[in-house]
Amino acid sequence: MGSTALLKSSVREGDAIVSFDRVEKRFGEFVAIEDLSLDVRRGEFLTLLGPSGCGKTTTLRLINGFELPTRGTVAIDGQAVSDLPPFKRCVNTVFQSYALFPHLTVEENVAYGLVIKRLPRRDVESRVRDMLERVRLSDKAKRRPRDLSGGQMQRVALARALVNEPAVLLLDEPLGALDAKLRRSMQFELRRMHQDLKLTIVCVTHDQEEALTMSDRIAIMNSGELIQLGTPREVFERPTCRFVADFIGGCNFLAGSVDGAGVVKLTDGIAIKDGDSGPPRKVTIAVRPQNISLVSPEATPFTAIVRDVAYLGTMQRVALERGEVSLHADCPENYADIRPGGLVGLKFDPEHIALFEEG
Amino acid sequence: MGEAMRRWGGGLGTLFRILGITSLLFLYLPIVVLILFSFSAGRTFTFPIIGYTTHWYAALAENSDLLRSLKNSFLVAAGVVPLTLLLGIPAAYALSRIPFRGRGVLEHVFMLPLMIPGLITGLSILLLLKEFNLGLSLFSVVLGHTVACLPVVMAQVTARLRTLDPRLEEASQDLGAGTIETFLRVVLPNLTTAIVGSALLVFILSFDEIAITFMLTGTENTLPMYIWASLRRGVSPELCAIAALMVAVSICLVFTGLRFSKSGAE
Repeated sequence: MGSTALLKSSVREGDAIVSFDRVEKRFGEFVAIEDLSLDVRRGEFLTLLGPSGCGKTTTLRLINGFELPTRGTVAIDGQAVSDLPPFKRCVNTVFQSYALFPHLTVEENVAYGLVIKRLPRRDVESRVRDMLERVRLSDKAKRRPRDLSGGQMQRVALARALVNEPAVLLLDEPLGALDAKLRRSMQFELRRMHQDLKLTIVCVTHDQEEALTMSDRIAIMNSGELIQLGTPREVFERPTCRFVADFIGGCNFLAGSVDGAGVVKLTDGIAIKDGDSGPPRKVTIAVRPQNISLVSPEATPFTAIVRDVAYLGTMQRVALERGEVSLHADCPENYADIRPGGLVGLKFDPEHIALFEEG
Repeated sequence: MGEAMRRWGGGLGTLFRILGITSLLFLYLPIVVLILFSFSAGRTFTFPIIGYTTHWYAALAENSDLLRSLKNSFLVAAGVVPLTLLLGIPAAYALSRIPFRGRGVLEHVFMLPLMIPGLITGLSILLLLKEFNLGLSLFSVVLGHTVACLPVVMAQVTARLRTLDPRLEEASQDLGAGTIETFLRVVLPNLTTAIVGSALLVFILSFDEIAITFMLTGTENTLPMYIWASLRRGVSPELCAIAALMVAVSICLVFTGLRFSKSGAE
């Protein structure tokens, strides 16, 4: 105990509290996680983001101990935890759909971890009371979970984990079961708690908006691999591959190439941008819907046919067709007179284009 | 569907109603007759019943053989119920939560003892006891009933475990509880309905059992054995009184069980 306390005081904020070192996880033949190396920094809100089956939940379960790595090591607070069962790890989890104990009251649920640790009853009571106050559920202390709304259950699950003062708080799709409005307010509440309590949080989600709103850093995963790790701004503005660009924010992709003079061209020869410093090669040109402007078809050789227009309140989403390629553009509502079947010109700022190598 | 069925399902509805009433009569008429005769003043079983008396019930209290067999039946059931729970609950838990070799097969065959005729179960245990040079007693009856009733407990507990979210157990471990503490604090409290339900059922099954008891009992008689033995002297109103009381006890247990499972399902 003494040595851990010493360790805690000697490390600075920002040091790794959870480290994955070349971790591989297989379920039989299936590779759930492939060669993952990742550090969770002390005090950060890290989100594991990806489509279902990408390995993000398995990654979380390697931290709380419900899965063990096939190869490589997971360390928590500098200590390899491969031999530690879940009940001996200093992390706590808010489970998907909460997993509240149905036979216990709200306050008994929150007290569970402290009772297990055999804390004196008075300490348990005061800590549970404080925690229930923090999540604004003091008046529901004697209720059973089945009498609560989804948002209240979510807060009980959060309180039940936080009352144990975990070194890392793990959230498994924490907002998945809530409706859109509640989800948005909980996103801010989780962020506020993260800052107030100086927590380290690892969150799993498939919702890119949730990830962008809450996280300090986002780890984007796909088929068992870590694809990109960075701040929300980094992964949104500088995606390193087609998958990330598409998964976060959505994107249009056009086939093209770079010629010897550094000019980026579409396959039909229309120049998009110049000044590329790389060698001549085939590329995929990526541009986000909100970065495409619709102009008169006479103003540019780059034209498309309007297929459909959807009203989205603050803007309109225009579905476009250019030969074989479908595109989307998001434009201000009153931008232009756009009708299905009509021809429009497309323009975009070369600054907002990303190039990915083909393949 | 009620109204539509009444309006257009006319012919079929009437047929089904008649079939329903017939099967109810078939099920309960014998019991009603039995209860009527247990209050009959005459010794013959013919209608109309001449007069009514509670004499036969009073006579039961004086019958020491009967009382002894009743006590034995309680003793056996009191052994069988805890034994089946003690074996059945962990077995059901292992079957539904812990992966082990042969689990798939076991999942399908554990109900088998329930389908094997009691005489066969009794016979096989009898042979086993002989092999180990163990004598017959109420204890061997308890063993026999336990074998026969274990699947009842396992079936009910397994069914409940199937609807119990395994994440509850993970949540408990996540909060620092070891596997045994998790079982005691989270799993067991959520099994109460299944446990009480199967305990009541096992009690009734053991209390009524005759085939296995017949093979395995020593010198002691259980209540069903006593009734069977008395029948050799013919059916008496006294026997009807015993039977009526057993029906009453069974009904009470069934309703207790029902009420309990309802309050648990809330």
